[in-house]
Amino acid sequence: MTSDRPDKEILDLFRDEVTRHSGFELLVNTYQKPVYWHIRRLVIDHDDTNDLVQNVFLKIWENLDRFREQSRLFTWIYSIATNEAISFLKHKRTRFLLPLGDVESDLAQSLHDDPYFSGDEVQTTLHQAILTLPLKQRIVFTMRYYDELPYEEMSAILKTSAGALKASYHHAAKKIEKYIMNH
Amino acid sequence: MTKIRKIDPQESDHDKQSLLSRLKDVNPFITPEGYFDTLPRIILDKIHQGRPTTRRQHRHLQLAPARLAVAAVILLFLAAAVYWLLSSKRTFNMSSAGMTTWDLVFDENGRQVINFDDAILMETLAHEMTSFVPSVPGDSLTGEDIINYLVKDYNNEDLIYDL
Repeated sequence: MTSDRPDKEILDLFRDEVTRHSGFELLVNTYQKPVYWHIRRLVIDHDDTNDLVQNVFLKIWENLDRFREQSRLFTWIYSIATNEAISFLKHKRTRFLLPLGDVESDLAQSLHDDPYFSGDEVQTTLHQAILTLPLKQRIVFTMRYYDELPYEEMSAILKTSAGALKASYHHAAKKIEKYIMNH
Repeated sequence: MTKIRKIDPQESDHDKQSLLSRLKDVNPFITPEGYFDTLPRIILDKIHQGRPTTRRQHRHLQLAPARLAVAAVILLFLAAAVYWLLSSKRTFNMSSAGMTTWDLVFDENGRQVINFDDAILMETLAHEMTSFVPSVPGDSLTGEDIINYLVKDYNNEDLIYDL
């Protein structure tokens, strides 16, 4: 999930003017993969993900001073990444004046032509099934299923109770299984 | 009202076993080769250059009210202009402008410059010729009457009118 490097080391380096850049470099090296994969599974397209990942880290750079350590650094970074992905998907809908669901249906179609998607038929169907979920349920499913985040951590990121997240994940998994069985 | 079944926490992840668990470990998404080797450098370069975040989503949202207001004003102007143009066309009156069908159809040399559909032209002429007296009193207008009407103010009688 995250690297073995403790967040404390990153923060200590970052807070010292002299080692600030090396602290941030350590942060990027530590979190680039989890952030990338988290966003990629939500927005699907590599180029969009690449833009968003860069934005996330630039925002982290601009705001890390204000991080109060009330949560784990990982949780804070994941919140920024999740918000960035949600904003992007919502903006995409607004920009093209699409009704809810059309962006996801386009993304599901694009999987077939995506040069950076190597899944077989079953994998493609799984991801198409995930894309049929409402956005928040999709985020919950992705965080739990792929990233294996504990519900408490997800609760802190999504500002939703752990019980509601469990229910959401349960319903999402049922829907996905049903979709796969029918396709 | 839909009754929502309570989820037993013990059960929560338990019954998704087989199918989903088999698919879980495969990541079908790939990245360009060496992507994660170069990404930190790209990000750090942007930071060194002091480049701000692109904020493509937020810029859109922040400016939305101002843009909407400008767009609304432009649309109102356009709508008013289109309405004004259409209204002036509707109220354009050839006779009040001292024009007849002749002026619209023929140029100063008597050449036809507008190809009216015959039916439309005849309808227009009939409307204009309500006060025109037929050559044979009591009879309806003939083709000759129409020609006479069209050439009545025109001195050059040798012109051929291609109606």
